[in-house]
Amino acid sequence: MTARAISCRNLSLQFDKNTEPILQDINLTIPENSIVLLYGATGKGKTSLFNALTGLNFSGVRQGEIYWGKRAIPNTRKANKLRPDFISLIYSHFYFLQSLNVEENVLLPAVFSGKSSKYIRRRLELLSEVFDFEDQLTAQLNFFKKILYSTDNHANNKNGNHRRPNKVTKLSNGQREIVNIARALIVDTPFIFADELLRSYSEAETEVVWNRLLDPRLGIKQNKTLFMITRKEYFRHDPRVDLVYEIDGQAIERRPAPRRQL
Amino acid sequence: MKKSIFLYKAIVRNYLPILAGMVLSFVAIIMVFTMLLHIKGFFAYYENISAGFIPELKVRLEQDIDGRAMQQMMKEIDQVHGIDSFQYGYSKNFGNASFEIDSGFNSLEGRSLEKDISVIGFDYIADRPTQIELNQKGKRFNAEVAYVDYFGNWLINIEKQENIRAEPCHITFDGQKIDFQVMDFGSVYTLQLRNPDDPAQLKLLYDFLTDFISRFVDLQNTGIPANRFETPVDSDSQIYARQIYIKRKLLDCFKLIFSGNSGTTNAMLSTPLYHGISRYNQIQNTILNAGGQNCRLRTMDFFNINAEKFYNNNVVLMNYNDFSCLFETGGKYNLLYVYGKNFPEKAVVNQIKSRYPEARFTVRQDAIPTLSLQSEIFHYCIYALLSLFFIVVCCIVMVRFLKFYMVFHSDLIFMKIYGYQGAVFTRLLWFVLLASAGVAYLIIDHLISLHNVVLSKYYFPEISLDLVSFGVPLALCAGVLLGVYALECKQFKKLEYGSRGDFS
Repeated sequence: MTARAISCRNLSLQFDKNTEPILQDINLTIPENSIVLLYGATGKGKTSLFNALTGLNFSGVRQGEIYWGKRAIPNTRKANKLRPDFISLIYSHFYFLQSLNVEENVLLPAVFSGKSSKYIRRRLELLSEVFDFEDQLTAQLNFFKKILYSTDNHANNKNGNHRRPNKVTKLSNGQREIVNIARALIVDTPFIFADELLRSYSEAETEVVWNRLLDPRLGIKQNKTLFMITRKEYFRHDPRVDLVYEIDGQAIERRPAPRRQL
Repeated sequence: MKKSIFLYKAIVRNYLPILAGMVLSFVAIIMVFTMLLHIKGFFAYYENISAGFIPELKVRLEQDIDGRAMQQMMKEIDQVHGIDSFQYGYSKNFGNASFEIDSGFNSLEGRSLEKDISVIGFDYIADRPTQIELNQKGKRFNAEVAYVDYFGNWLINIEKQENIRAEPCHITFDGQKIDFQVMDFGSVYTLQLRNPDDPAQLKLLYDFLTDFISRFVDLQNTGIPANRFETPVDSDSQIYARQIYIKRKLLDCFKLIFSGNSGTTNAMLSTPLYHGISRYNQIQNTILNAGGQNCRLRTMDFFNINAEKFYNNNVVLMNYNDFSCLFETGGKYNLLYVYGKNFPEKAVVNQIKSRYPEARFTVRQDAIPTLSLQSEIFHYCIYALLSLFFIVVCCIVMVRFLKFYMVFHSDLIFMKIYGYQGAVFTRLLWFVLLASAGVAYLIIDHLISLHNVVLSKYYFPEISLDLVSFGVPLALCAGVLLGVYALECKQFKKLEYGSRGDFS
């Protein structure tokens, strides 16, 4: 599939017929190979727009069309069919399957979209390299592999030590953020949609992780678009950001990109 | 990495205890279903004892027809409608007739009251084969069976052939050998079991004789009950009594089929007649005075024909050959009994009517209204129980289904987002049913094999697992499965991110 852009035309979101629409006649384009931010106060419809654009939930859509490239996405059924090859998701509330360990949660999208073992292994190694924080300020976040596995020195196996997959329940919020990102990046899709990315981190930690996320090896801005819903002012000043939108009342306004400010 | 492994780890693993519970429930339910359906067989057994002789359809032809026409008609009916078996013969009503009871010493002991008596002569042999294959010194011979009798041991009389010698021989039945000794008795050869004390050989011989006799008469529909006045003498009295019952039943049938002594006709009487002329239910030599004729009869036993009251209260049953000799029918027939449970009666009636418009028909239900009512009530009860269990199955599955979607709602949505499309619960239910059916089959099969050990000890025919009885519950479960699949497809479509606030 050729990824051109994700866009919506005349999109209106309204959850209760007796109240005013949250967003009305929205025309928004998320171009390919870019970083796009969407700002907005709480309750202004950021997440509803996120859900509509990603085809997760159309319940609030009263009118308008959504396009992934040239394809119209009229319902969740079609979205579910196309999404695994088109959009990776980073959720604000993480959501992990409690029955699976950390590694399995990371691998889940790749397994369900039918990727080969070789592909999955290669992507996992790449993520391990990119998110290895050993020599960084945020070493306290633990290395990526440490998030995935615990080393049990007492285990009686051939190598003397034994890698035991961690359970998701034992992770801190910071660690969950990393796993959440890794799960989105385990599949190489042209679009990454992130809701409230890195909200658990301090500014210093955010900078480290953000820079890792924009590592050229992961391909954002080269062959991937990152669309982020956020309230963090930190990103607004990053010159690598291409487009900034802000919800203003029922409309979405385009704001000057940081690069232009500079 | 396979999706199924992830699916197992994400969902199935947590659901295993419930799945195990479901398997146990379904094993119990399938077994109850199967057993309930098996019980129908017990009623059929009771029905056979009570009125086995009564056919599903009795046809009385107003005109006498010859044997070939009768055979041709039955062949056509069987090909089109699939009947179980049939008997045809000649029936004659004598109005007032009586019996003279023979003391055996050339003097008459007494005379019965005159009654309205009908005599039926069934053509048991007709065009059915009476030959058996003997193997003597590696050579095979087809020998014509002339008579089967019992004098301490079974005796099978065969007509003399030059090739057969008075030496050991064997019959192969069911892949096993039954060893005989050929004895020369002048006009006939007689086969005697070489090892009559060997229970295995004896049982095999019973099975062979049962199989042989089934060529001529449907044993299920003889209506001949166990003789209650035989006294068991063996230490294992029940086994002995059972042997006697089988022996008597086979012997009675053989004697009816193959005419015995010249001058005397073997005959069975309906219950009221037999009780009227027989002392202590013993075999009696009698003379039937009917229509100005005196027929010497050897009344062997009675057959349970209470329900024959609808047709005739007093019936004498004999072989057609004897009947024809006594009453000179000239190879014509006027009576037809059709047996079978599942043939379309109306269609058969129409087919016969098209050829013989004046034929009179009596269906079993009219002949034995009380029995058919009992049967109806019994079957309604069984079906009511089955329906109740079916409702229970539906409820169990529905509750489990709803609970499953409540518990795993978010997980399923999450997997759906990542491209999983599948009816998880239906798949699990499929495995549950498969496992339950397997376990239930093994248990039932084991129970039946245990039961068969007991049955074979008493010389009852062994029972096998009725696949229909086992298949019906499985078919019902498969129906439930399809229903659940349709429901789940609908439910799975409805699953939507954030629809229940799971992800907020």
